[in-house]
Amino acid sequence: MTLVSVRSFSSSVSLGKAACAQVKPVHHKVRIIKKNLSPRFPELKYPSHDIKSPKFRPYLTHLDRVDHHYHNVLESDLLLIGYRHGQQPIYGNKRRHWDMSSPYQINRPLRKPKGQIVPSQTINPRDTGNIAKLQSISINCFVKDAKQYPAMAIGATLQLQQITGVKPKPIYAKTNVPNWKLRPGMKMGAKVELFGRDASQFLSTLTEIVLPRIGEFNGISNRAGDRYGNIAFGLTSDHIKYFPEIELNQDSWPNLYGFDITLHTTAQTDADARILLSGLGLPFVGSERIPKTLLDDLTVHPYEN
Amino acid sequence: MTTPVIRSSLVLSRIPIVTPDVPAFEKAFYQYQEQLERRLMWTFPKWYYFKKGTVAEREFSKAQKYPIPNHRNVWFPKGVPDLKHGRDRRFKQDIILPKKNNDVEVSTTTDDGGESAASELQNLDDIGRPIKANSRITIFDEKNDQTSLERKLPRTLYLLIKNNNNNEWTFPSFEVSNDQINKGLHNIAEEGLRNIGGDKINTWTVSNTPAALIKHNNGINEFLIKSHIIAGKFNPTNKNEYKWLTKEEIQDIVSDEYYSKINHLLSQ
Repeated sequence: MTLVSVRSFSSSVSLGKAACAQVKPVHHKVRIIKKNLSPRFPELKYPSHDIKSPKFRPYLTHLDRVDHHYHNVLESDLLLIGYRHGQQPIYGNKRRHWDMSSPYQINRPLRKPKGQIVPSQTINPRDTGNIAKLQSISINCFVKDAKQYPAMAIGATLQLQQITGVKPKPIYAKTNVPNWKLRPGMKMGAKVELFGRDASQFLSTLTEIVLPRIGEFNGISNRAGDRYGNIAFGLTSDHIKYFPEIELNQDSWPNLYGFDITLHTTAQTDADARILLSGLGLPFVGSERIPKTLLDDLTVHPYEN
Repeated sequence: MTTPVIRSSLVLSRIPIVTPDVPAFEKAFYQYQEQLERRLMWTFPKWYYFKKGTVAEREFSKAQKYPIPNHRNVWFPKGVPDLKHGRDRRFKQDIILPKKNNDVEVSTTTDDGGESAASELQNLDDIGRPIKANSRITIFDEKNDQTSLERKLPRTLYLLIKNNNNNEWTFPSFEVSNDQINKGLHNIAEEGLRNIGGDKINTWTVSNTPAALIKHNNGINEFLIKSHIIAGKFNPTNKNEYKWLTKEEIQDIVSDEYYSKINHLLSQ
């Protein structure tokens, strides 16, 4: 008796193999989620927003003051500020097509953009669909001394948890720097990303309680930003004591750790993000540098790519 | 046919001062969600906030109401308690803060009435004094004084002015004469506001781009410039009638045709 040698696409049984084929092309690419097959823990099958799920956590527990201010006041103002009559899209530097001078270029991935490796974004005219909004706030607390005293990373985690009320994630060293005695895999601190009401709560604490009390703080630098609407700034360990969660329980905090705050917005440019954030109560200082390419948004570009 | 005249109008608004009024249904929803959150919260880490053996720890422990632990000969009508660190894990945990000496003082003096003002002054130094919120309804709300800026705190108010010629309520509107044509609509509107309302007003114009254009039947093109009042007050110089109104009040007072053209500009 011989096995049938015709291979069916739907199964690997006909090949006489126990599991699915790993030889390309692999046709069984659907990931099997074992918890969905097992009858043992039925509550794990509910999505996390279902009240029956053990993951469920209510998040609409109070009115969001910052969110309401954004929708009621800021949103329409931002639309009006960003609007310019006859605004044209500023096309980003995209991946280029090959000239097909060689047959090896068929099916080849596109060429890198001119002068850079990663393609840049196209900046669209501001309209009702792309008004900048605060997406999330991420806080990154990297403690330099944690390589010598690993317990400091735990202290930094606790401090972030105390200030934000959200469970932080540990951060580990990635690089090997023998001079600093830094090795990959060492726990160096913690990070946390805040969304929704947690972010609003943190932002209002920052703008109403912490920043006004920092004497030397004049504002976030106008040079800060990653070009795509995310603005970052830092607080040193001396500034952390102004957070009310820390201030009212100072005896428990022999060491405080400074951290970097990144404000993630949906703004297309840093200038737009700064307008949004100043509307949310964050001051900015210093001279502003706007790239030349962003200034000629009223001229029609001859090319589209 | 006459040449069309350009007018520049100012949509001057006072943004909400307090959070919006929450309807009863939403309030119930938020309360339900909050209770759920409290039920799912971690147990209060007493060992972290109070060092063992301190006075503060003793006072805190004394103030708590601890649930009755499980016992084999006792019948619990609401189910067997599941205690961990002094908390019944089936329910939310109520944290009772111990009363301080100055809390007691406040309650006794307010009963007398006469000394309350003096004690409040003394207690202003105390950071731990109970927070007392001001009323959301001001005296101007009670008097229904529509010329005041301190009314309808959770709503956006807009400045409306009565036109002396036709007795109609509109946004303050200013004609753009031919020699002013290069001045900019927003500058004309700002200047016009100071002419009719005095210069003791601090406003912030959102953009030099008009927010809307109203084309009137008589050929007048009215551009609306958006602005917020930051400080000061509108003080009419020529006894003009003015009002600070919410969206609904504007609908009652202006003509239907005018309202249909400005409706989309007004926020809650």
